[in-house]
Amino acid sequence: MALDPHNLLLIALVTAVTLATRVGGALIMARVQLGPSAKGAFEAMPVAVMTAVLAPAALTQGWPEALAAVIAIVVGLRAPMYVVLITGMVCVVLFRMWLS
Amino acid sequence: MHWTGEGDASGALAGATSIWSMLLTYFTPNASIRAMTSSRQEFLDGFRLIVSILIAQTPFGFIVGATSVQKGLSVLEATIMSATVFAGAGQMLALEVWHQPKAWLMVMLAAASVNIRFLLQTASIGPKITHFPPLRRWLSIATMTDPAWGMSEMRHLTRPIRPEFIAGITVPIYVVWVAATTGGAFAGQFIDDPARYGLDFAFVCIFISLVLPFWKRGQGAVLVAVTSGAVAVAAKLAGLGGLYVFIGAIAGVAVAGLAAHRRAGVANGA
Repeated sequence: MALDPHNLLLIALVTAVTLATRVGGALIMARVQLGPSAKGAFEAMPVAVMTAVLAPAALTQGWPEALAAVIAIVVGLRAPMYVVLITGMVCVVLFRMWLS
Repeated sequence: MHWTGEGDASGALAGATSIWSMLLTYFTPNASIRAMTSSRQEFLDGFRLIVSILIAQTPFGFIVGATSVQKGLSVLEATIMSATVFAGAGQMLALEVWHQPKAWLMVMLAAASVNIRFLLQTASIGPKITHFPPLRRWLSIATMTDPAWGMSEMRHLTRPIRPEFIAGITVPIYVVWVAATTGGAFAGQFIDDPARYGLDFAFVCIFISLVLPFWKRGQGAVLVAVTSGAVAVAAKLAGLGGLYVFIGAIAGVAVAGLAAHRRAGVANGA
């Protein structure tokens, strides 16, 4: 049960930023009138970030990861997260054995 | 922590529980008992709406905990992180850049970029809960999650939101989240080769699950996703290191801003 100063610092920073996004909305954003393009940009941010994380991780590592990701997406259109997790992880393990 | 918007089912549930609470109120003679019963009822209303989300949350928390340990956090640190940050996608993304150069800056950017949605959520819900006592109001805001936000917005359409309702959503999610992460962190200690179990691929699966409800929202979201995905892949292949996420995201956000600007222009007849 070690506590490492580097880890604790990063945890504190992530906590502070997250808290700021939650409190900041009620405190500041509720009083600011955003223009349509700013609002559209804000709303798109989570999708844009998550896709920008996802696409390179899925597509640039090799065939096993790319195929498993495509299957996970198809499954995810219907199934909840835990099914996507299990399917994706099983597929990637199998494809890595077969394709490399 | 995502919300898939099971509008019909939860609407019917909310209807059924409100009839139940009306009956309870009618048959409870004493006013203070009546108030207590309705507080409890509000909590239970919230709780019932998110039972399915709790089940989905468990494996997610488990993976985040296991990933934390793989990234060099102790079990205690993983628990502290979940208990203080309390935002799954932000935690997962921050862990991805935990050991990059300038990690302190990278984790802040990572957390800010996915958690920025809270800014819009609490901006919308904040003015709707000004009748809460201050402590409960700010506690509700400081612990806002996608399900708590979504369900509260829905509640607000039919009746005033009560603090107990939000607590009925947030408290169980918090308990399950911290417990699942701790369990995952504990189990993660015994996994020496994460790739063997596909554990290194779990975060791709999680982000697929988190982002799919957004993709399904329509053409606009798909355009944003395709842009940010393609630009991020190109930036990574071009050897831009850890910056590719931000380059891809900025491209997607720019497209969204332009599209919204054009829509507004059309609406104004310009």
